[in-house]
Amino acid sequence: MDEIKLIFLLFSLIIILFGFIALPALGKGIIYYVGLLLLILTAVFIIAMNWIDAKLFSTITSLFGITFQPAKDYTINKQQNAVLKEVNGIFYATGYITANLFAYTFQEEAAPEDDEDKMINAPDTWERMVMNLNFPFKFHVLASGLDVQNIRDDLEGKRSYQEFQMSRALQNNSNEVTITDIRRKMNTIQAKIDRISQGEKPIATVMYVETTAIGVSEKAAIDALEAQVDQLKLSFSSMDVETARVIGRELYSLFNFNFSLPTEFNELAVLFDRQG
Amino acid sequence: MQVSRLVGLSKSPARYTTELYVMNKDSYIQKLRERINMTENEEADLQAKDAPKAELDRVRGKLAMWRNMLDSIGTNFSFELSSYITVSAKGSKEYEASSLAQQKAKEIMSGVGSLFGVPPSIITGPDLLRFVEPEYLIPISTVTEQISKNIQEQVI
Repeated sequence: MDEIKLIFLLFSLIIILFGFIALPALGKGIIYYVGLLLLILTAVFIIAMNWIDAKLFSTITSLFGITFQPAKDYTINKQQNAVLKEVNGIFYATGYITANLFAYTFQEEAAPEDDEDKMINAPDTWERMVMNLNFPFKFHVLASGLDVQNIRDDLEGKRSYQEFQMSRALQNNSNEVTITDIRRKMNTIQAKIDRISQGEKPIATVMYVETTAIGVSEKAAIDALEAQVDQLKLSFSSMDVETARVIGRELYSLFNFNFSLPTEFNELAVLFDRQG
Repeated sequence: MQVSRLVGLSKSPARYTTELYVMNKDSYIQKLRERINMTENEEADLQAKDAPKAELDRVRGKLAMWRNMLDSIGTNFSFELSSYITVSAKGSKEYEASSLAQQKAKEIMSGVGSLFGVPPSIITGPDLLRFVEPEYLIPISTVTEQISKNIQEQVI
């Protein structure tokens, strides 16, 4: 949780605090206990919203059958996991899954050595995967350059901290596992610093897969989409990629990216900081 | 390594996409349907004129050929794979935003050209819709052909 979110959370809870202060004015009757229960429920709800908002909102929209219109002719379904469009009686359902190929892109950062083999085989795996899929999909890599100096300062700070940890571990005669772990972390950080020194630019990425299914009704399109998403998850599992269905606000953001992208890194960070 | 360099080409956010989409066979299917209609008319004319059997068989053979071709075209989707990069820019006027976006696109294009040795180009006009609207991802007449085939198969 970043500072801004923490400030928002604290200000939201201040209102609850005022409620608690005003509560004794209600006396000690049944109203007091109803008020107390409501305040506790509200506090729990506000705190929960900061972590499970996507699940919470999609449950509410599913229960009450609420749909959204993100753009003209488009609808986000009540489960908030698909964007629907009807064209000449044919329904198109679009869904998104995360597919972060981080270990492939930044192979040097990954500690296990067998990742190198995966990296070499990745183009073949990709080709085989594409050949076996018989429906349209898009693989997106949204990348944004980061400030080199800030990242370098940040990494040097982390390296100093690990050096301090290492000296403490050596003084305390810690076991070999702890020392190896710290050494591995230091090597990873040093590898990143070296890459920046060699002129490589640090970047932030968001990778996701978009797929569209068709059907003669809304339900048929969504059912076809579910099947396609399952097949994509299965195919991407061969690349050791963690795939999760995107729902709620993030689905809306990814849908909007088809029309316009954020123009600065800060705008992008605000959208995806909530991913947790 | 090249991919790592590719995604680091732009400081501002850019989206690199590989898209597998259904080939647009709409105009080809339309042409086939027109050809079938013409041949059907030809067959009807010959029948009305009491044309020789050999001539009638020739036209029927042609009709069967075009129908088979339409069947095989409609049975399966054909796919195309495209890679493209999306950039956005802000501006107080429409032309300002679009010229800034074009400028960003040209910067990335020069980088892509030198990295992969391919001549990239800016997508303009209706082709843009192929990367935005779902009905261009799966073209409508190709889809209806496929759906009608599926229904026919289910009925049979």
